[in-house]
Amino acid sequence: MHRQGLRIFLVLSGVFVAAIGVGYYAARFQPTGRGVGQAPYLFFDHLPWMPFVAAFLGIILSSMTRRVACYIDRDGERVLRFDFVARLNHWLIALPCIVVIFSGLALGVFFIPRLTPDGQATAFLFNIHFVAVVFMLVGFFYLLGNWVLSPRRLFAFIPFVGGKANPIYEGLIFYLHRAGLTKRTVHPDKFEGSEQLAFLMAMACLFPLVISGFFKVAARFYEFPAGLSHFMNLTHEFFTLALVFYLIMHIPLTTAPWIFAGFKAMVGMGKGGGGYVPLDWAKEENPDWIKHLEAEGKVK
Amino acid sequence: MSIDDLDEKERAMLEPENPGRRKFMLFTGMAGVAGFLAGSFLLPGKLEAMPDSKGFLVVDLNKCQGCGSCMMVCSLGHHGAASQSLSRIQIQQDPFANYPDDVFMAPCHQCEDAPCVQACPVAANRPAMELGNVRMIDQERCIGCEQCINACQFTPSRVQWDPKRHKAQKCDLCTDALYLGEYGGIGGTQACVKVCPVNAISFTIEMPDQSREDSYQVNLRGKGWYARGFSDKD
Repeated sequence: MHRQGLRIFLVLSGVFVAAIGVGYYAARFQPTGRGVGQAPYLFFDHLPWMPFVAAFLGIILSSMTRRVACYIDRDGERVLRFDFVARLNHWLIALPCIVVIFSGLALGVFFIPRLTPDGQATAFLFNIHFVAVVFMLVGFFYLLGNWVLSPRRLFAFIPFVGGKANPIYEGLIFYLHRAGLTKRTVHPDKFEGSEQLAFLMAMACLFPLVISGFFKVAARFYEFPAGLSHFMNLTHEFFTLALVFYLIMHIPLTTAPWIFAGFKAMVGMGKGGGGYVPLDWAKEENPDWIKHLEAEGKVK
Repeated sequence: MSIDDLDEKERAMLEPENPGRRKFMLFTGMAGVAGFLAGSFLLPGKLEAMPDSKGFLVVDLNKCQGCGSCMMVCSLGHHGAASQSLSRIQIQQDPFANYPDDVFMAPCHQCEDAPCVQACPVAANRPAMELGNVRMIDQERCIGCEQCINACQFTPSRVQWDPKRHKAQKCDLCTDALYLGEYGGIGGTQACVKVCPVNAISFTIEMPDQSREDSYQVNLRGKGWYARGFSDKD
């Protein structure tokens, strides 16, 4: 892994684990000794402003980082697919998101019963959920900030714009060809049709989750109408399950053998370190992307 | 990661600065952080410093006969139905134990830092500010997640599951007892206190010691109790 990336990963992991540790002791916290009426310290109750601050921290972070455009490195026979910002952004959402989902499911969703044995364990899980939510919100708003700074990157994900092929057709042919069921083939740009659709699905899950999550936190200090609170709870739970289904598809399909070079680049283990994929692989998987890079003169 | 960490080729591929938009993002972010941090100090501290309830139920387990009258009148007052399952005060009896350990009465403690209030994700369970800060569950708001039931650290939980409405319920000192026919709550009637045939339940405005569970078990025995030769064992 890229040394700088590893360092940042270790620092963030350390902060995350430390925060979880504080959450554990906070859940056991009893202000005046053992006995009645001693409530565990719930981050969501005592620090309800933190998720909102995290969102703005993500925006600040986006203003402080510079993007490196994708380019072909002829000497190294590699292509920069994910610059450092893209990788940081992805993992800053993805890793906390997994913790958020697991803690959320364990706290009970719809027909899934809560898996905690007592109040203290519930409080601890709530605190874990809180810490992961804060990290994830930094990542999510970092992503939004990056799009504002560079809308071109957002459009790379969005299907049906800029003369792109029909993503459903492209994705279908792509996988049928992979499976050896058709000789027809497609020439994807940086993101092939199914990846663009997956992006839309991820955003369709994340946006309602974040908005309803903010409502749930705000309900701690602001009185919303009961119907709205109920609706937001249902929204949060429904899109949690939708996100789980998305991840069940996303994780295997982004670590599959034919796309593993892309996964290695995202982890920062690609050829030559951070974010690069082999040129030959990119030519085969994303021929139109390489053509566009060459046409734009992004070759060094 | 700074620009110095980039190699020469990557540095040449840095995207344009776009300083105007970048500054806008920076100021938006900083304004947001400052706003919420400042707001966190100005927010009404209704949940961070939960106001104390102005009323509590205390019981005398030595007097309680386990007749269940309090349970019946509780469910009658709140639901209009005689159901021990719907009662907000619970009595446990152990036929194999000796007096006075054979009966245990479990009223809600109206805790100082009520965990059930803290656990509610939709603020349905909260101190009713205008009604003496009684910890009450707003039935319209309750989503039936059962967090509060599990958050209560006493056994049996002082928050109960209402299997008919699929919501949580708890003692509100009869503040919301629609079928009571009298003014309930703090300053009014508590049905269980009123009907207990042996006066084993009492209402007090003094908060019992929050560091001891048995501080809710008090001596409600009068002179007559001792005059009849009953035990004065606590």
